[in-house]
Amino acid sequence: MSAYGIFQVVTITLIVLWSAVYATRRLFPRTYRGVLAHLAQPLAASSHTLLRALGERLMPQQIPSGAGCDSGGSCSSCGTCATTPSPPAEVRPLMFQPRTKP
Amino acid sequence: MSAAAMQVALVGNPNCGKTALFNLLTGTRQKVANYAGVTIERKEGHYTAPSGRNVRVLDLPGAYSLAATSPDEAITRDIVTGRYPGEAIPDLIVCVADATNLRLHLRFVLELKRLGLPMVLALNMMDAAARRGIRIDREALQRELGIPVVETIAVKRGGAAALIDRLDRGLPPSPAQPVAGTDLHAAVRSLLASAVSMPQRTAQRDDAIDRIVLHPVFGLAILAVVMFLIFQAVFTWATPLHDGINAGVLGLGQWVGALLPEGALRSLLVDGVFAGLGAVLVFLPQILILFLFILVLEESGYLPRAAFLLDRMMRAAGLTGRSFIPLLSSFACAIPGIMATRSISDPRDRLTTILVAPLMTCSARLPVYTLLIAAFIPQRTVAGVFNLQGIVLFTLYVAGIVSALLVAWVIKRVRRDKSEHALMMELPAYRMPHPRDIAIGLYERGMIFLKRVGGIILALTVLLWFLSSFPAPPAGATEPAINYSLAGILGRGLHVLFAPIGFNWQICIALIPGLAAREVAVASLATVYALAGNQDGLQAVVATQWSLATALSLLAWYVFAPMCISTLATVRRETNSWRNVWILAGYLFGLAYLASLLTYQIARALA
Repeated sequence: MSAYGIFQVVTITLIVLWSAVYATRRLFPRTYRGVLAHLAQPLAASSHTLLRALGERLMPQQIPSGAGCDSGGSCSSCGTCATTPSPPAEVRPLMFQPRTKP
Repeated sequence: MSAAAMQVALVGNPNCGKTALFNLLTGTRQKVANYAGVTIERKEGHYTAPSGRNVRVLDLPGAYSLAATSPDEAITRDIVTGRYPGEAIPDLIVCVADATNLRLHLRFVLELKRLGLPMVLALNMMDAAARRGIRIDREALQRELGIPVVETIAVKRGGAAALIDRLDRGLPPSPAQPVAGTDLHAAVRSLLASAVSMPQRTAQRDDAIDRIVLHPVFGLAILAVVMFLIFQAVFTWATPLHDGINAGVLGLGQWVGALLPEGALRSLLVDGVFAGLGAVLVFLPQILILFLFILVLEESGYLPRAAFLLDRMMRAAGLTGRSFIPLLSSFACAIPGIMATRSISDPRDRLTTILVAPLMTCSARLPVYTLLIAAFIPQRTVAGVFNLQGIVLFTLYVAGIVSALLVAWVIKRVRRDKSEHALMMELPAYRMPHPRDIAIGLYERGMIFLKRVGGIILALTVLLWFLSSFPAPPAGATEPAINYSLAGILGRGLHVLFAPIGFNWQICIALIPGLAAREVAVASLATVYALAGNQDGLQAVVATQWSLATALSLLAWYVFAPMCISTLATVRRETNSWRNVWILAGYLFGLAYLASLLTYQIARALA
């Protein structure tokens, strides 16, 4: 195969792979996040520094409870889709504890 | 309170300018409009005060009271009372009040004061109040309320300076609690008497306009004319821009094609990316013109009046005037429309509105409609003034609205619901649309469209090109390569189901990615025909290779078009039920098939 042929195959493969990942992320955001979390968890628990860093990078961001519409940001109209940043670390949610019987 | 960031919640009645203030403080561009119920979720932003302090700002949905009656009001109630999961109680409440309507807004201010949280009152729209001759003694109001009061003009650059300055001085002390059992309405009257002086008539101009615009006959006629003119403009104004973009995309595609040697990469770029994306991109002018009108109507304050005009008709169909704004939002996209149903307090009305929202013609359908109309409907003038293509487009939009009313009526019959809910809606003051706001709104819509083209539409076009190009045809194959591909095989398989409604196998292929986003159907058709060797542009191919009956059938299909996957996901989330998702998908598919079948068979019989 010529050099151009190899370049062609590699380029097309990368573009098609990117398209498949992108379409999954936008159309099936929950599935995408689930798969990503499954991949990231064992990596993040690894003792190898590089693998751990990769796992932490892959780990999907927490979405604030109640935010977004689960559409994967397809309409991009309201600005509260899955890209909404999580609250800053210093903000602690109220914790309600069940009342214990005396 | 955290030492690092002060958490501020913007709270107030609907349509008092909270989101405009939020945008001014944080530099964001959240949607604002001149009617109640635009914000239905909590939004978060940050800004750094002049002192360097970091301020976290929450923009909350408008509420008339802490006794929430709808899901969006419940979000506000839960956040300010610390009951919202994962959200800390705010350090400070900035209660935003419309200075032109303090009689209504001060009641909620007093109710919020009872929470005992540090609070600042922002008197917004002070410019409009001054124009109407309303004089507010800020010092007196501050003294009477016992909380800091600042003046703001959220639509003006620098209009939040007083608020920023006040927030930078740190938290005010918690307000003193009023005596238990105080009558809030009496307290408001007392506040108005001591701090506000109003002219005898504050809205003469609005009243004069409303006498015509809200007239049961003239009002409806004006609404019909406005809508009709919008769709006329979409066709007549957009043509030169449409043709210009089309020529540019075709030229660029040919130039790139000439640079690359024959092969798969050239096919991907020319037949996939340029043919597919170009076929969608050319509809940018139509979308911008449609939104230009929608934005002007939103800003002017006319839309809630339209809701009142249509309330009787909507109630007869089982909807309420409250459904109007969600349904109107669905003309942009069904997703924000479905989200906007949170402002409907009755759960049954809300579900009905959710189920019919996808019948409103979203902007994603515009490319499909425009393509087919331009290919099959002659560009002729009717009655010396009107554009025939514009009339057909208007008819398709009306068909969507009428279908929604009919479906809502059927739902009402099925659930045997005899209850009626009176429409209580605040009519905002008329406002001259600000060119800057309109320009920003158009820019936002344009960017949303371009991001879709460069994002999900590009990704699906590439995937469709891949499925339409592989596997390669066997040695000695005589038909076009696409006929041997995965997409070709799939299209022919689906053709059995869709042949009775006149769809060819190329349309069948395009329907699948069209479920992701409806415009992708146009991009897919362009790619499929380009791969089959047609390089004349999609409109020319469709005009010569399809029958009129097929084109009309596809138009009928897209009036009901089984909605996109994202809409289904939103319905699932908002109703918390897969059953509702299946009902929605099932009835839309059934209606689409039936409408296309009737259209195709009748058109063939007449031909």
